[in-house]
Amino acid sequence: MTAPTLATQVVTADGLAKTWGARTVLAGLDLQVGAGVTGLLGPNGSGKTTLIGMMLGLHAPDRGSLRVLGLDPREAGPLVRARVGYAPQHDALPPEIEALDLVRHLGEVHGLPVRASRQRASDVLWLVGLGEERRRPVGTMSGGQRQRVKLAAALVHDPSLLVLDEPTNGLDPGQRDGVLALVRRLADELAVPVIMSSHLLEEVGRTCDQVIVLSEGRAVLQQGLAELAHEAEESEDRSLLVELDVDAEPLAVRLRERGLDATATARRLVVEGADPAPVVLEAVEQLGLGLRRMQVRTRSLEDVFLELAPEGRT
Amino acid sequence: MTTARIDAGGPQRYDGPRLGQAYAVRRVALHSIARAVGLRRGFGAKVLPLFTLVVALLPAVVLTGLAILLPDVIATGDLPSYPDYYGFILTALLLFSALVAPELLCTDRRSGLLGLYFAAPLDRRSYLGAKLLAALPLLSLITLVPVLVLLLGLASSGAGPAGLGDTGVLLLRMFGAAAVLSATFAAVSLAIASLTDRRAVAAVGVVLFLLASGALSAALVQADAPVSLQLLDVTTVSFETVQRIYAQPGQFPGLPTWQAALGTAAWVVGPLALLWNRYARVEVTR
Repeated sequence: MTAPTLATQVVTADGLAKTWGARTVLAGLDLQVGAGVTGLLGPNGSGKTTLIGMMLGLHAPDRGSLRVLGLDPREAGPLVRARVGYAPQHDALPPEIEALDLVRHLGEVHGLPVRASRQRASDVLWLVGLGEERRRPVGTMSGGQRQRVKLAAALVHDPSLLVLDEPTNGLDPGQRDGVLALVRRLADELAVPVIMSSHLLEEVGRTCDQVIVLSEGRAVLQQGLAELAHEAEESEDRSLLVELDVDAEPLAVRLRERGLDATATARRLVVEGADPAPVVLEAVEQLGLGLRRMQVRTRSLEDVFLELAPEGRT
Repeated sequence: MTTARIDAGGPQRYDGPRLGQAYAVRRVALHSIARAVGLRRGFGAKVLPLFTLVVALLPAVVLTGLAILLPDVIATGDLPSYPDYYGFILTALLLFSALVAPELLCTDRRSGLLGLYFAAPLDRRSYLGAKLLAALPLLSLITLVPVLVLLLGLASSGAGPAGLGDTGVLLLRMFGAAAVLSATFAAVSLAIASLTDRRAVAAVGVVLFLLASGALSAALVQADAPVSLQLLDVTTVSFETVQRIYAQPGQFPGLPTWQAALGTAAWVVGPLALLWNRYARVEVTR
């Protein structure tokens, strides 16, 4: 997993701003998206969907510039949309149409001739694991299957960029795992850059190569996840998680007396600082407490996210 | 136990032609037409369009039968004329408009498919163009096909127009009348359908509007209102224009033809303006 370079950038935004009525959704957003899977992470209302709408040329920014596949979506909206595969977060599939008919039709609408569209519709439905189900009306399918139909519809015209808006929205954990694995596979096998918006840290962490964290209309973090993990590994910013068999507050008091930053919650204790373990062990022994677990916590993606986008805390 | 796996290799990169927006408009129009008449859908979706078409065609078939079986009736001129035939299709046209327009617009909005269309090379204008392109031939099934069937039937029984010139003029009038009625009813019913996502509500709305329009017209006639007020009724004014296309005096001989044509044009332009206004505001993503 590598951070994108300028040469591979498929989306660049510079000072992008947008307000809806009195609400500022994007406030000078700068970002670059390259190859691989990019997670667009932010709490609900952070501007992810607005940004996607702008990428497709559906909304004009109030100011700033945006280029998608080298084009300005405001000026070349139809051209951009012909080369982008988009799967919206909302249900977008008429229930009574067979999956194959729908995907074929959307291929045609993206400019594929009838025969090519028919062939590719069948191919992509096999690719997303719906080959046997392709003749089923979409309304009879499960949520996970419908999500796969949306992926097939986004892929049918062989896009140069795939944009997935909350692709696991409304899915149960099993279906979610399946869709995320599929997204990863599509990016690896088809080598199509993918932008995947999500408000779930865990799915971005396991699916994406790069993460862009949006907060209050700005990109507050834009980094490769491998790089982020490496930095966390090397970071001095660690804490020690201690679990006792009794209430942890007396131990927290003792540790604070020794100059450590300790916070107790019931039988658990989090101690900040560089290598506090010897002091903690000594204090536990002095107080005669039963130690159940002691674990070093490194800085996680969640910690980074919550520092950068505190409004995402739920 | 060993397992075997057939790897189909997945889809190849596509490097063929990518046809433009005009092609996308045609594909959406064709897809919409197929859906509206129930093609590739269950039997239930076919019943009402088929029934309506039968209602519109039945008089033409009966009149053709009469012309063949009772040639004396033709000789005495007791059969309804071509312009008279439009009276037979009014109910079918009303029903068909109420069926077609909601299917064309409401389904896309309600299912969310509109979002996928707008994420394709289509935009609002081309999308609405595709829907109009679908509505006009669909309504022509009611406004044109029955009179063409009647012409064919009468011509085959020797009661058709005399000579190629008369036939040509008659065909021009038929196509002109069909264009007027299809455009008017398409514009009005699509505008009403743009007001709601629910097909049933839109269908009832179309029927109620057209019936109310007719009732208003009847009330105005009974109240000896000025003839120009007949322009307020979409059905009356469009059917009056059709009569003028056939060079008939129509129901209101005092109404100048240009006024009837202008009233009809207003019933096309006004609803289309409402339709555009509605779709200019549709939120796709935010």
